[in-house]
Amino acid sequence: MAGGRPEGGASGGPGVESHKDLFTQLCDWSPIGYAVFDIDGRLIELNEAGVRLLGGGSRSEWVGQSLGPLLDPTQSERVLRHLQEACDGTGEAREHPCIVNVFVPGEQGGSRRLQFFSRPHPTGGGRLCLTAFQDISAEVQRRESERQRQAVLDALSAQIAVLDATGRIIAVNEAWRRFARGNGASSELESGIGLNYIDACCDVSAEDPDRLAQRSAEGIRAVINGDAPLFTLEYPCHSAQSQRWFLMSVTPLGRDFGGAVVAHMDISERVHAEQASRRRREEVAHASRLSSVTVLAASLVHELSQPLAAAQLYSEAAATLGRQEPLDNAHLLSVVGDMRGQVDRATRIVDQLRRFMRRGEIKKEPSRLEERVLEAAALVAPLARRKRVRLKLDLSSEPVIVRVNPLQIEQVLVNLLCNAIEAIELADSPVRNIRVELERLAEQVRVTVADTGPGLDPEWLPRIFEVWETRKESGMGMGLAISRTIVEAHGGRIWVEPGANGAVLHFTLPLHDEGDPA
Amino acid sequence: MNQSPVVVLLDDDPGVRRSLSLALSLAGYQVEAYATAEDLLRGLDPSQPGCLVLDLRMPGMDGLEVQQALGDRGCSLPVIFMSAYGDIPTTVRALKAGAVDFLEKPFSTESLITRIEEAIAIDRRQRAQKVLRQTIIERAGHLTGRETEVMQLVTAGLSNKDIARQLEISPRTVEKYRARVMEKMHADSIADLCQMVATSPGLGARHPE
Repeated sequence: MAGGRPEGGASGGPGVESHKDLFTQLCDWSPIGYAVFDIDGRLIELNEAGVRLLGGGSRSEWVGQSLGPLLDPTQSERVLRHLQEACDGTGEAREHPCIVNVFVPGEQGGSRRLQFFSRPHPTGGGRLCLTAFQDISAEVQRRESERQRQAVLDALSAQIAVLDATGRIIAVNEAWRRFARGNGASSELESGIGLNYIDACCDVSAEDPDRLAQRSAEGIRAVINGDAPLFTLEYPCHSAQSQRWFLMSVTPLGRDFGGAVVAHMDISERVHAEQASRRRREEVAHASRLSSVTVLAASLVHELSQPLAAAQLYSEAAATLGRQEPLDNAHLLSVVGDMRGQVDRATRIVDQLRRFMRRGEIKKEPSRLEERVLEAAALVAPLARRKRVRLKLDLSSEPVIVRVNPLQIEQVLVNLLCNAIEAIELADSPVRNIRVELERLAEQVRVTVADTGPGLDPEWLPRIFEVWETRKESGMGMGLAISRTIVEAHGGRIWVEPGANGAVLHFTLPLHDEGDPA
Repeated sequence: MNQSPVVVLLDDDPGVRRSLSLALSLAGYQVEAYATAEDLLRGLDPSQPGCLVLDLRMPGMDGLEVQQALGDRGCSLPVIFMSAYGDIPTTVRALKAGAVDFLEKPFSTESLITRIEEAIAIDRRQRAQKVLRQTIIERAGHLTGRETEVMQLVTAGLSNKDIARQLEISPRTVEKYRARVMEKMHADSIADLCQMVATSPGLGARHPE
């Protein structure tokens, strides 16, 4: 050791002497501090590294000093006890090094953490000890951040596994362990650490119709290899008690280490909510159709009962005529013809209703808009007649071709017409007209439905197309929301003309380009 | 009374109107068919016997309003309503206003005829009663004041003795009046006389205290 000659050091030839010098140099280069302390905690010898670790200065300044001034009283006491135990070889110091960690002031006002390993000085007579000390701040920090990371991982509700570059699980969080426990995994599977995740995925691939496991394995591999920045997969994982869905997401762990983080998040609640809202939307769409149908039903029943009543009476009359002597064939045939006419009439009504009510997506096709208007008008005509409302159709003379789902467009028109009839009826308007107008614009057609009802309440106007807005018990407001959905799905727009007399609703539809494939 | 009954139809639907007319004509009825309430009210002769078959719901004046208008004119022809579906309030209103029956369309000729027969029978009975009432009132008009008093007391169930005491005449005189009442009223028995008084409001006995 530099600047001192240990008593009773090995003596020998110059070769040995030079080795000693080399060791002294080596000691000074080392990042580890080496020191001799006496039983009172005073430094007897110290290498350069030791000086650096204790905060610098010159070696001679340190000799004879204790560490006391560096330390707070508690730490100071611990260090002194440590050194005393090391000196007299009590405790376990004779067999094992005594270890103590202390904070000493470091650079920039921080502190560094030193770890002391001490043994009795072989010839110190119980009054000296040999001590090696090193800066473990980085190690402590690493362990600390490791602990923090784990705490953060454990705090997450997602089940997380950290994989190394080969796909081996190197860490899992509490949620992962809990899930494994919940699914009755054995204790080694519970942590899963050491298992190769990718291999595990491949193992279950056999009994996996959707190839979920295989897709997961491929996704993880892609992320680990840096081919993909992210891999996600939603999958069902139902148990006997409940329907569950999970979202698996795989992100790279970081370039230096390779590997990936696999998180499984329970998204059942979201999926349930989505399913519920999808069901709700479908119900709303269906309910709107049904509410229109309900409104129409009364008049349709009436409308249907007329031809049925007539057909029945004609058929009975025909039977009577058939029994008469002499047989009046001409009369009989004309009655049968009348009967047939009534049956045809009933069939047309049923056809209209059936087409209106049929559910399911029908694809868009080029269609003549004026035909759609006529169909819709025919459907509401009985209702209009009953409410003494006149429908005026102002259709263009040349065909207006739009590319639409014909039934949906009819549904929009029926909704608007029913609304208009209801409005006129509720207000008991003296003038009872509805005007439907088609106007060809540059690349679209504008449909106008105007009624002579009381008009729309300006307060209600901004929300008129919202799903649950309705001013009538009939639930027609819902029809407007559906109408908007349909019109917008066709690339059109629906709006209310502000400040008009009566309610004036417009919607547009893009014209079908004749050049388009059908 | 000797006129044959007429079935009066009202339906705005030409198919229903024509088929009904045909079916009823073939069944032997005299049919008068109208397309609108206004035509019916203009064309109907309330004195002709028969019945009405009205569509309940029609644009403009509906069946109920026709029934009401006819009632206001003192026409008591029985009404059969036809409807696609009779909602309960409408049904109740119609029945309160004296509808004989409801038929939901479609219906068979037979079921309609059954109801028409009932309606015509009701009409016939009503008309007969009306005639009878008029006859009774006419006969009662020939009774003297005392005879009327005796008739009222007799039909109230008092004995000759009680009547004599109340009118302060002899039972023998009561007996004489009573015989003359029976004769003038063309009554075969006391029960017969009671029935006449009961069916002709206005002749009813004042209750003895």
